[in-house]
Amino acid sequence: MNYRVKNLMAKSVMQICLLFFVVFLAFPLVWMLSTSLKPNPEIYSRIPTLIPKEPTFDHFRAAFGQQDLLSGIYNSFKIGVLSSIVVLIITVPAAYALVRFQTVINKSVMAWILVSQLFPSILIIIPLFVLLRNLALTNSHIGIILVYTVWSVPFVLWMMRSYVKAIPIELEEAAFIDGCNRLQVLSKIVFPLLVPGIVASGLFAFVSAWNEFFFALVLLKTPKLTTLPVYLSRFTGSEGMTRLGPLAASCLVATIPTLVVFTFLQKGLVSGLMSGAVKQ
Amino acid sequence: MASITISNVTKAFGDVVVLREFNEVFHDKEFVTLLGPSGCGKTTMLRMIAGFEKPTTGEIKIGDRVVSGAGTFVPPEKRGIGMVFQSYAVWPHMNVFDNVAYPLKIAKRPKEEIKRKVEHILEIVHLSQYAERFPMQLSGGQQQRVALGRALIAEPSVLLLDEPLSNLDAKLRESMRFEIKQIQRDFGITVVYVTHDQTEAMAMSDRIFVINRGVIQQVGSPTEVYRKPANQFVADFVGTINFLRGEVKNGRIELAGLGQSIPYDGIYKGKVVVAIRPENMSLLPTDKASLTGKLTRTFYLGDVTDCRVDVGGGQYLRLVADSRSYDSLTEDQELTVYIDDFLVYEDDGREDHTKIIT
Repeated sequence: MNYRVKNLMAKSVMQICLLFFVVFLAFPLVWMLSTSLKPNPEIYSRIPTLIPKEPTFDHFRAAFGQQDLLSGIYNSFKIGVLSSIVVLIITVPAAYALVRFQTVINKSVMAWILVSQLFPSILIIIPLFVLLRNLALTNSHIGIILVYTVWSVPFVLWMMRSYVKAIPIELEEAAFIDGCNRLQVLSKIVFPLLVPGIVASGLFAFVSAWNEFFFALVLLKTPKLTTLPVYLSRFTGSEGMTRLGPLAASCLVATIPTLVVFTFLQKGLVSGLMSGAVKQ
Repeated sequence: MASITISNVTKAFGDVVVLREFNEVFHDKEFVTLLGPSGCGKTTMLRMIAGFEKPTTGEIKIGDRVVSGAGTFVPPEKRGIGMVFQSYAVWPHMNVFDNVAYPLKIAKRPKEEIKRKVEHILEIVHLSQYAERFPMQLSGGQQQRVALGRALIAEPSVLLLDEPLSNLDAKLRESMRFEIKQIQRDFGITVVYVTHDQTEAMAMSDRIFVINRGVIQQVGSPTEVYRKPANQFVADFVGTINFLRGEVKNGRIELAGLGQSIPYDGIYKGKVVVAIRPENMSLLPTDKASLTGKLTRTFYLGDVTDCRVDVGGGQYLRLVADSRSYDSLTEDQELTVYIDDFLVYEDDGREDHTKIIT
């Protein structure tokens, strides 16, 4: 067997594996879309159909009619945006300092930050609830924003750190040589180069807040304050009755922001702005 | 006036001393090269002049102004120097014009002046037609010239170059050598150039500082360093050279393991090391010293023929013969090598600064 045939085979195997992976990832989404457009008898029919025979938007109407989904979307959006902004305000300077000012404690600090990721939310929810209640921060957006911020900071800090590391120190030194002071170096050189990283990390923080369910369920009591995932959970009734159609429709609505954001930004995030900066 | 005076500068990182007792003056408008293998401390010296490192002890003056010393430290942005980095460090988010204009923008110069000066500099570094391009659209050589233009635009009196050509291909490197030298002459600036490439150092420098393990081995013009290397390290590092051990006896040097000797009337006695440059030997008979051996390999390089000759005792000489001799030479042929010129060093028994052939 010659090299070209081998190469072709290796490529085909890889493509097939990728295909399976895509099906694995995309099927739930496609199924959700399909369910949201099917009339009820078709959803519960014995022979499942992928493409709805009689597409209908009834479930969307029902979803928005039965619950105040719009206020859920608004709350989720507000909490997500604010918490990711706070996360960035904390992590961007922290990551820069951790990378550029090497001290003995850096390594152990980074390790401990990672360790904090190991605790499952269920483990800390009771003490957290007590703590927030004592501070009168339960059932308030400020409280949940604080929780989401603390929850995202460790991982986002690790992310930001690798983005800062990717900026060669020579770029900063060259700016010093050209007469910049530290503040100008940060604002004119480092910040513009970090923008892709900041966008990526910010989105990560936003999406993890947008998707979060457990903390929101426990900490936000008033329906007016609660977030989209909690609204979604209400489509599965306590009496064991799940309204699949409206659930699928509202889940789809909840997925759209994430989907849109990543579709448009993925390319820019991957290619990276750093190419052409320095020659290794 | 932009001489650089370095007095008693020692630099240590923790316990590791990378530069020891550096004591030199780089004169105004001089092209100085710090030459040495990687890790010899040359880049550290440059970074101390730039202000990215502080000397552990000692003092650095640019002109009459102390920039690093006891109690004083002028940060890099206040030293009025230009610098080109090995990696170029061109800013990826600015186009060529903005990259080059940057030092003037920081200095808040008027727009028309910036435009005029940038256009002038871009012409000098042959980038006028690329002003609107971004670094990722440029070749390595062009990026390098952007970095050079940016370093020159503020008309610094001192220009520091940290291996600026090492990432370029051979042809471009050769032409950039002459351009850098020309720019230095035209601008009348003091240049400190760091490189491990001896050809670059030879081609451009007024003076070469050969550094090894943090200590200056020799200071001199390219001809001095090449023709009269101060020690075996310099002889070996600058150019190519063959080393043979021997002992001085009765006006001759008896070469160890070869059973052959060459005439010698110099000052050294006892154990010595003989150093012969490949181009100082020939296959054409002369009345000078000679050695016999067996030709083991020939390499046709176009302009010359590179030969390896087994002179006995497991030692080989490398010599360059003229291009046409390649046709007449056959491998395994016995021949006589005539030595036009050689150097002699005292043998201190150390092996680490000599290598016989590469």
